Amino acid sequence: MESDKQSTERQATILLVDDESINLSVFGQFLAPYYQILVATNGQRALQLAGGAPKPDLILLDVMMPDMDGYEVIGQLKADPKTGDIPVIFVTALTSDLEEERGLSLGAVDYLYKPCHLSILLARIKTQLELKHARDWLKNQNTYLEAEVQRRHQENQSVHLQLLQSEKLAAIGQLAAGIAHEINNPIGFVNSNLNTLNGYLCDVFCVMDAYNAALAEKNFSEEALQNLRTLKQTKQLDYLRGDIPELIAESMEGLSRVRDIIQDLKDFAHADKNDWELADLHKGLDSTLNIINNELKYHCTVHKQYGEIPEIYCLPSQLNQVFMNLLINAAHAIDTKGDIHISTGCTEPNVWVEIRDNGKGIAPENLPRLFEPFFTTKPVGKGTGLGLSVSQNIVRKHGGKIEVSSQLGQGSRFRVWLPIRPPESASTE
Amino acid sequence: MNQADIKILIVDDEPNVLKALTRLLKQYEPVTATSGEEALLLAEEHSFDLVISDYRMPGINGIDFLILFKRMQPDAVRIVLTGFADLEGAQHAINEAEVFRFINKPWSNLEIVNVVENGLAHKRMLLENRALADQVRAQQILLNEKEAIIKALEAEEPGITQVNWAQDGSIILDDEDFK
Repeated sequence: MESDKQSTERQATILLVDDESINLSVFGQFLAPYYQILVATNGQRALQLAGGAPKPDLILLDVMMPDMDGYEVIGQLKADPKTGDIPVIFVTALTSDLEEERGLSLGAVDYLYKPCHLSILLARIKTQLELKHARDWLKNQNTYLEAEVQRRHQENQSVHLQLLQSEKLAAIGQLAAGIAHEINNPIGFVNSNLNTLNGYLCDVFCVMDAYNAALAEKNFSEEALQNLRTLKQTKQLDYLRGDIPELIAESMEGLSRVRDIIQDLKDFAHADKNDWELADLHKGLDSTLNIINNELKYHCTVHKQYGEIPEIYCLPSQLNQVFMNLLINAAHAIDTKGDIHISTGCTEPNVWVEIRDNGKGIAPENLPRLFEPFFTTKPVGKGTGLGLSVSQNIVRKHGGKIEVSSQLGQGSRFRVWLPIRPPESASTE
Repeated sequence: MNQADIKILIVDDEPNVLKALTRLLKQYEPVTATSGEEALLLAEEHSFDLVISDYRMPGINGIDFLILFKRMQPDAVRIVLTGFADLEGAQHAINEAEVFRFINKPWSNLEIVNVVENGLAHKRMLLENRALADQVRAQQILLNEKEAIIKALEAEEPGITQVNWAQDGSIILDDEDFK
């Protein structure tokens, strides 16, 4: 097995340090068949070889040497990170416990007395080399594992972002029919009004033409004037004069509603808005309410009780996603008719946003599973089951939390707490 | 039917839609309501020839409103105007509320005017039909009465109802008549 190891792996290198060359020769010859041997007769040379290539896997170090003794050498070896990890075995004639203690405390892995059985020496060397090999392997593994963890962490981050985006788009998809209706309605009456306006203009020009004709012919007879008056009446010019500005105002209002919905949608769907910024939560709530208006207006009455809250440092589009989830859940909890109360407030160093409904409430056995991904009590196709789980992640990322309280048959209350300034770790992500 | 006498009711939760449709149907001077509930209250005070209703509204929805309206004023023409068309809703509308037409939003002005005119013509025809049928029934009753009298006479005096009329209008009496 030993020869296998030596043939498949690089042969280990051992550095022998002894001022007496006879010792070097004895050890050297004995160990040469097993290992690559380097020799040094003094501390200086030993340090040189230790720091060079090939890097020794083990050093056999004599203690008694002129100039630099063994202890000095090991001191320098350990002080240099390049050589500090090389295991050192003291081989010395200094047979005293004190010396052994000193040697071991300086970082030597073993302390052998001369003369020693060469086979024992070999065994000790083998053990230390195996240990070193194992240590090296561990170090490599650790480095590799750490890199893996980093990589997986990165992957997680990007998957997390993808999930956020998917959940957001799924929410919008569910709302699509309602949003289309909200846009369709104004377009409908604007289109109608324009057509009507077209007709009005024809009437106006008709009357104008009649006047022009009369002027051209210089026909100001009573009959002609009466005809003009009648024409004005028939074409209802007075009514048109009053109705046209109203028509235009209503149409412009309709179009600005469409513009707002589309702008709010754009803001909401905006993908990687991962920039932390100061934001007014009330604006976010209003914008979100505008998008989901169609989901709420037929069966819910929304009551806004906005308190005085400062702008907070956050990811506004992600917080809007949280608000949308909570509001839609509230709307779905209400069967025929109900109320949703939105209130906000500030309790230093946090702000809170509370969404309360008087819908059917949450069964107590479901409460602990509420934030579990994919947990839902809704029928298939109506909701992803991810809304609350994603929301909780977002709130946690902000250093906040979501509180729930609910009574079956009475309603539910969700309160989101957010710090005005997020924890360091959050904003530096 | 004089235009001014025709009454049209328009129901939609969106005021701007009511304004736009009122302009379009100005000649009929339509009455408007922003909810089914409001419209039902109006229906108690006035009778209408035609009603146009939105489908999706807060409160009572358009179809349920029309079902109730139909019970109150069965002769009025019922039209649904909607941006939210689902098959179930349409079936429900046709079967239960007996809606005359379903119009999609956004509508075309011409289409609305056409449908209203067709609807009113349809109603006219129905009413005329009914009036004629009533007349026929009344006449049939008279006829039946007359027949009954003739039968009774015949039963008493057979042959009395058979009269020989001469060319000049005089009655020819046979020997048999004196038996």
